[in-house]
Amino acid sequence: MEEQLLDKSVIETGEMVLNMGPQHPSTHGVLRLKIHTDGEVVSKIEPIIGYLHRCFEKHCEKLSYEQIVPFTDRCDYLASMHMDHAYSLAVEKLLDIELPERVEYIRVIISELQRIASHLVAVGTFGLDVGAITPFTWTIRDRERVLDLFEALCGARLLYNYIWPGGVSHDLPPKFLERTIEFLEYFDPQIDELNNLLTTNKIFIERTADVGVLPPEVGINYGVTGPSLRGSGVNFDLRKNEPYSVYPNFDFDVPLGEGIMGTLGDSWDRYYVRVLEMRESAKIIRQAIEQLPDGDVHAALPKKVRPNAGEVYGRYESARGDVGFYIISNGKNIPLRVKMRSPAFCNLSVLSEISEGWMISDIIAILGSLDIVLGEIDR
Amino acid sequence: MSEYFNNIFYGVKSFLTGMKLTLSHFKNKKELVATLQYPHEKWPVPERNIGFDHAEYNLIRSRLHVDIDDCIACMQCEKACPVDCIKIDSIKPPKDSDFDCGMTSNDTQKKMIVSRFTIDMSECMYCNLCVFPCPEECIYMVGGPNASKHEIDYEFSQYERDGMIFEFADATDEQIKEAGGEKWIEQRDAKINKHEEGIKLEGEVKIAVPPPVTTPVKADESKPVSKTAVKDSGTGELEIKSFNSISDKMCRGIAKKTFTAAKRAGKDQTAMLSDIAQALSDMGKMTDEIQTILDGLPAPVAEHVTEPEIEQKEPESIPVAAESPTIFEMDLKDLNGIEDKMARGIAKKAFIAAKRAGEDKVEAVKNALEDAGKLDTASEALLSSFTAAYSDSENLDPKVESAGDEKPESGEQSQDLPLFDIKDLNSIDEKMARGMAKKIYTAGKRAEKSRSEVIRDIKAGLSDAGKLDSAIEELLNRLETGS
Ligand code: SF4
Ligand code: SF4
Repeated sequence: MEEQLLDKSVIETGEMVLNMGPQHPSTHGVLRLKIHTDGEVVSKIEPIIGYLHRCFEKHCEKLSYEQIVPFTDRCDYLASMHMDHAYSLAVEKLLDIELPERVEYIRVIISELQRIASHLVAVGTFGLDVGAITPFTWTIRDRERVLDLFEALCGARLLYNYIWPGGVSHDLPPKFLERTIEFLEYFDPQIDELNNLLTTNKIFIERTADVGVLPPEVGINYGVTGPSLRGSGVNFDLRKNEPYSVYPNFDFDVPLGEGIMGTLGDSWDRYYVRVLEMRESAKIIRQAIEQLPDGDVHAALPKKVRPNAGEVYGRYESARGDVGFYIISNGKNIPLRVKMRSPAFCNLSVLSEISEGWMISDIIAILGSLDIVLGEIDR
Repeated sequence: MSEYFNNIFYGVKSFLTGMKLTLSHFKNKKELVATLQYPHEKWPVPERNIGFDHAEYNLIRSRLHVDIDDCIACMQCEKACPVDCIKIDSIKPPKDSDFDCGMTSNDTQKKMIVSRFTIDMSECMYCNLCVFPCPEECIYMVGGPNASKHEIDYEFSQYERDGMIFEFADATDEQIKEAGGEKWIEQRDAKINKHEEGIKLEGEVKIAVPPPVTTPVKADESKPVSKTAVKDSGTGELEIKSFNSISDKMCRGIAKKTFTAAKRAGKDQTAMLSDIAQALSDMGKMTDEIQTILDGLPAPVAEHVTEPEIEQKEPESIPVAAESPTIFEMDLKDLNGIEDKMARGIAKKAFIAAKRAGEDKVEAVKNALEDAGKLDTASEALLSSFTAAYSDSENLDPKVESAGDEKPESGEQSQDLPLFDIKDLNSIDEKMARGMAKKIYTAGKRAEKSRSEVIRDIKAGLSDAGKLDSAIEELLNRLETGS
C-alpha cells in the first residue's frame, strides 16, 4: 500500500498543460496561451495566435494603395492613426513626394493624441488585469475625450482612414486646436490622479514590481520594441533614433525604465514608461500647435497613387513599438506585396522567456505589461 | 523589522490616498460623470460647416446617401470602394435618340440614366473613400449639421439585413425602356426570378415509398406547383388520349381498359401506369417501345418508386386485369387515402386482421373506425367506394387471391418457398426498422404463415411506422422471390 502511494504513476508530479483563452478577459483579444505548469509555477508558455487573422497582407495584393488605408486601420485598432501614418510614410517614401509642412504637423498632433489614447487603454487594462478596476474606468473616460476630438476631425471614432498617402483627408475642423489645448489642460492633472491611485498603490506595486523582468539584451535579441523595450532602459525610440516627419523640431524626452520600485525592466517599469510617455506626448502636441503653419493639406495629395517599380521599408514608432511596412511596387496602382512588421508580435514572443518561474496569476500581469493588440499580431 | 512596519504603513497610506481620490470625485460627480443616459440623452454630433466644398465635407459617418438626380453614373465611387458594396448600372441612350437624361445641379449634362444604384450598408465599412472622388459631390455621409437636408440616422439599425440595402436609383421602367434599356430590364427580371426560385427551393426532397395513394381530387389539392420532384411530375394530367401513341391495336386497347379501371378506382397516376405496365406484360405485349411511351407520360415511372410497386401489386392487379376491369379489390395501400394518422393505423390493422380471417375487409375497417370514433365522412366515402366493387368479388377467397395463383410463375414460387431465415433481415440498416421487422417475422413464424404473408406483414408494419424505405422494400421483394 505504502509503495503504491509513492509510485509516481499514482501521484503525478509532472507538468500540466493549461489553456488560457482564446476567450479570456485578460488576454486582450483572442489569444490562447498554452501554459505548461508545474503546480502553479509556469515552466513554459506557447502563445497560439491566428484567431483574428484576416489575410491583411494577401488582401493588399488586390487593393489599390488608397484602398489599403482602411485595412491598416483595422490592424492595430487601438492606434489606428499610427497604422495609417506608418503606411502612408512608407508609400510616400516609395512615391518620393514632399509633404506640406502643415500636413506633417497635423499628423504629429494626431499621432501623439492617438498615443495618449492608446496608452490610456494600455495602462487602464493593465490595472484591470491586476485587480484595480477604478483606474480603468477613469482612463477610458479620458480616452473618450480624445475620440471625440477625432470624431470632430474625421467623423469616425475608432477606424479613421484619416492619414492618406500624400496628406490627410481633411484639414482640422474649426476650434479643433482650442479643444485640444483644453483637453491637455484637463489631462495633465488626470495623470497625477492616476499616479496617486494606481502607480504608487502598494498592492499594485506588489503585483508588478520585480515581476517578469525583461533584461535589455533579451529584449533586443527578441526584437522587442516600443515602451516594452524602453522599460528595460534601452534608449531606442524611432522618433529620436531615425526621425521621420517633423519630430526633430520638437523638444521631448524618451522616458526609460529605471527600476524605481524593483528591478530594471520589470512589469512596473514598462507600465510607468507609458505613463511618462503620455506626458511627453502632451508636450509634443503643445509645441506642434504653437508651430503649426498654414497651408493646403491637399496640396501633395497625388491624383492617383502609382509609384514606380521598386521596394521600400518604412519604420514608425507606434504606441506598441516599431511598425514596419515593406512594400514592393511593380509600377501598377496595386502593390505587388505588402508586408507588415508587427511590434506586438515580437513583444508577445518574449512572453515565454520572461515568465518562466512565475505563477499563473503573474502571467496576467506580465502579459498586460506587454500591451499587445491581437488585431495587429494576427492581421 | 522596521521595513515590515514601513510596508504596512505604506500600504495603508496608498489605500487611503486612493479612497480619498474616489471620495473627492463624489463631490463633483455632476461634471465628471461620463455615463450618458443614452436613449434620453444623445452625445452631440460634432459641428462642422457643411457645404459641398471639399474642405468642408460633412464628416459624420452616419449613412451613405446619394442625390441621384445629380449622379452622372461615372462609377468613380464604385471603383473607389474597397469592399465593393456599391453597385451601379447605367443605360446610355443610343446616339440617334433624343432622350434627355437631364442636368445635374452643377449644370453638367447627364449622358446616362442610372437604372440601379444600390449600396449595401451591411457590407460598408464606413471608410468614406467613395465620397471623395465623386465629381458631382452627390454621394456623401448624412448627418451632422446637414440634418436639415437629410435626416441623420443616429442609431442606424434595421431589423432585417435587407433593410440595410439601399436602392437610390429612381428611374422608372418606362424611362429605362425609352433610353433603350429593354435588355437590361430583361436581365434584371431574369435575375429576380432566379432569386425568387432560389428562395422557394426546399432542398433535397426525399421520395416517399410507397407514394401516397390518394383520390385524384385530394391529390390535386395537395400539389402546389413546384413543390417537390415527385409531386411535380404529377401535375400533368394523364389522359386516355395519351395512349393513342401506342401503335399495336391490342396493346392500346388493354392500356386504355386498365386506365379506365384504375381511374374509376381513384388510383393516382403512378399506380395507374404501373397497373398498365403490369397488365401489358402479363399479356406478353410489353415491348420497349411501349415502355418508353409509358415512361414519357406525365407521371414518370421513376425506377426505385415503381419497381417495388409493381412487384407488390402482382397478386392484386392480375385478377383485376384478367377477369374484368370493373371489379377491383380493396388494397391495404388504398387506406392511405385516410388522412388522420391514427385512423389510418386503426383501419390498416383492421384490414389486415380481416384479411387474415377471410372476413369482409371493408366492413371490418368501417366497424373498427366506428368503434374508435374516427369514422368521418371522407373515410366513409372512401370505404363505400369499395363496398360495391367488393360485393362482386365477395365470394372469392381472399387467400387464394392474394397468393395470386393465376400468376403462374412468381406467385407459385413465393408460395412454395419455405420461410426465409431471420438473419436475412440483418441487412436492414436502420436499427429500429430491423427490430420491428424481426418482431413481425417471429410472430408470423409462430403463426406458421407463408413466406409471402410474412413479408406482406412486415411491409405493412413498417409502412405504418413510416419506416419503409426503398432499400428495405427491395430487400423484402428479393426475399419474396427467393433470390
Ligand atoms: S464608405 Fe467605404 S466601404 Fe462604404 S461604400 Fe463608401 S467606399 Fe465603400
Ligand atoms: S461618383 Fe458620384 S456621380 Fe459618379 S457614379 Fe458615384 S455618385 Fe454618381
